[in-house]
Amino acid sequence: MSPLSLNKHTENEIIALCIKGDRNACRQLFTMYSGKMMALCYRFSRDRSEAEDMLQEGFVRIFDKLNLFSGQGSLESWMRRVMINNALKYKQKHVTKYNYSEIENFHIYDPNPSIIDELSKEEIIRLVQSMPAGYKTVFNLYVIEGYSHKEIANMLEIGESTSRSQLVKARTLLKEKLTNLIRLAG
Amino acid sequence: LKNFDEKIRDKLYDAEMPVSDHLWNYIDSQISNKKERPKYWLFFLVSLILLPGFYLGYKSLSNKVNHQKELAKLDSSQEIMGDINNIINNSNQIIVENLKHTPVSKISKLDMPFVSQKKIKKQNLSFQIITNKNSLTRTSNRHQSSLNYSILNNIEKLPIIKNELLSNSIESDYVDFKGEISGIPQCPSFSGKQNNFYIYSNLGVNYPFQFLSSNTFSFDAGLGYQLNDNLFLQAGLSYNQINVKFQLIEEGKSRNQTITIIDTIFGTNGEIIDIEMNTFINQESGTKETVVLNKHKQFDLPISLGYRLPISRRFNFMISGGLALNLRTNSSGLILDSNNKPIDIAENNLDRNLFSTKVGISYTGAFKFETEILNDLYINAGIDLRYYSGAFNSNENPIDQKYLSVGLGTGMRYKF
Repeated sequence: MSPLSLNKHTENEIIALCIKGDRNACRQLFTMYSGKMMALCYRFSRDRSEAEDMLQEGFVRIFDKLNLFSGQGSLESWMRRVMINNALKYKQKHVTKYNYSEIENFHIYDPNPSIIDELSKEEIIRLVQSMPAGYKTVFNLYVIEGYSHKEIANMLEIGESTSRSQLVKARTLLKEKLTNLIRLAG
Repeated sequence: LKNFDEKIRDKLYDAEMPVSDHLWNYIDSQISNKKERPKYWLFFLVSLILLPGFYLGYKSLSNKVNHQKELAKLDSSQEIMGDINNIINNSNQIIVENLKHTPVSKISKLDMPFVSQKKIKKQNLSFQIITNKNSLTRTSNRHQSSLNYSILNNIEKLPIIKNELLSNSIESDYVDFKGEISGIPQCPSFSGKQNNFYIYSNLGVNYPFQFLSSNTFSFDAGLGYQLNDNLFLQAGLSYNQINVKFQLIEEGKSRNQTITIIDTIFGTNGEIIDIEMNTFINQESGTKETVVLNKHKQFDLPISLGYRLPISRRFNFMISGGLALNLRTNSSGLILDSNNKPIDIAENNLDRNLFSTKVGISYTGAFKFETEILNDLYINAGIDLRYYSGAFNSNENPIDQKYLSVGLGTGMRYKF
């Protein structure tokens, strides 16, 4: 069942049932959003196995804190924030430190943005996911999730300027990967 | 860049990936465990609240039982008292144990001041003695019509007491008695019975570790109860305020400055001919610095258990720990929106979304030194600790904002 097929009333009912501990409702909510949340986790993770761990922990946290959801804004946005927060905690717990080191011989790639249209979602996800942890975390948070550098700096406990430089490098690396992929395909 | 970012975002934001069914089983088992997990902290909190009640109840019951035991002892002692019974009125009792050679005058000064009354007539003497205890129950016996006592040990010494008392010369003679003497006065009495309750208040200035440019101010007051010579329990209400400095420096900002110039034109004789007033707006650009204190104001219900250790005749060392249940938290100040613009928390009602109105339970602790400055009035000073287990931000704001604050605190308590 897609989230789009549910009206607000139905979603609120499911939330209420989940808070009461109804397992069927929890299962339904999981089914509704697990696909999107899996894609989100995968972008932050090292591989699929890690993404699955993040997803499981994230959903446990979501069901645990669902009673705190105020109802203002969409449930999906709230779930995404909880899931991102959980993913960052997971990485902090399992990875010693993000690699924010400078890269020498930095080349600028500027491919035509239209090449993105030529790739499938799965291919782009894999490209994003294949970047170093520090790069993809900042890239995911800024470009896809819409956080500001200030917020990212607070979340990752790094400087704002580091966040900006990581984003620039992530963009460049992604463009390079895109160019290579198109070149190989062509 | 924007085009590139937007295209990536459009592709990935709503992207989905297939999920294996077995993932749900783990989540399901975790949810079930959480639902069934008992809230131990709740039991602990309730126990702390109920503890004084149980203690008082137990103490009251214990006193009643001891009282009945003493009466039973006295009944059995009647047989060995012989002639003394002649002067004993059964309406009152004194128990004397472990007799020692002790001057009555000394006892009368230290332990039984009422005995030192010089004009006591033998028909008007009745008393209750408790020695071997720091706190002495003083009893006024002037209205009693007869002398009443009973003695359980060293009966052979009793005639001395009897004779001295009857001859009203108890100040100058020595008698062999000392020990635990207990009695139940029948006459009207005044009593210096110790009250274990006290009121307290504390003031603290703390430093939260998480934010360099922040501080915490706290005040609490309430009621305490001394469980025994060392242990105490106290609960009350507290107000706590965390101030976090918000500083934003924006470069390239412009502002309009209104300048008014007043020209007064004087004549040759010094008289005012005309006054001209010109107002113009000057636009200037530069760096704008915004500095405000973000305030998290909290009302809590603190409860703590402590241990008071005398380290000298005048000073005590106290260590305590407990919980503070947050009743309400109000947050105010500025935060940055997604465009790095400062916005007012209160005006935008964002506190509901980004900050919790209840931050849950905090763990508190204190290490303090205490001294008595006036009768029953104590002051203390030392180190306060507080750890907030709950985050100040709500779940919609994924940046966990927790605090651990340490600082100096001072306080007072008054036993009534």
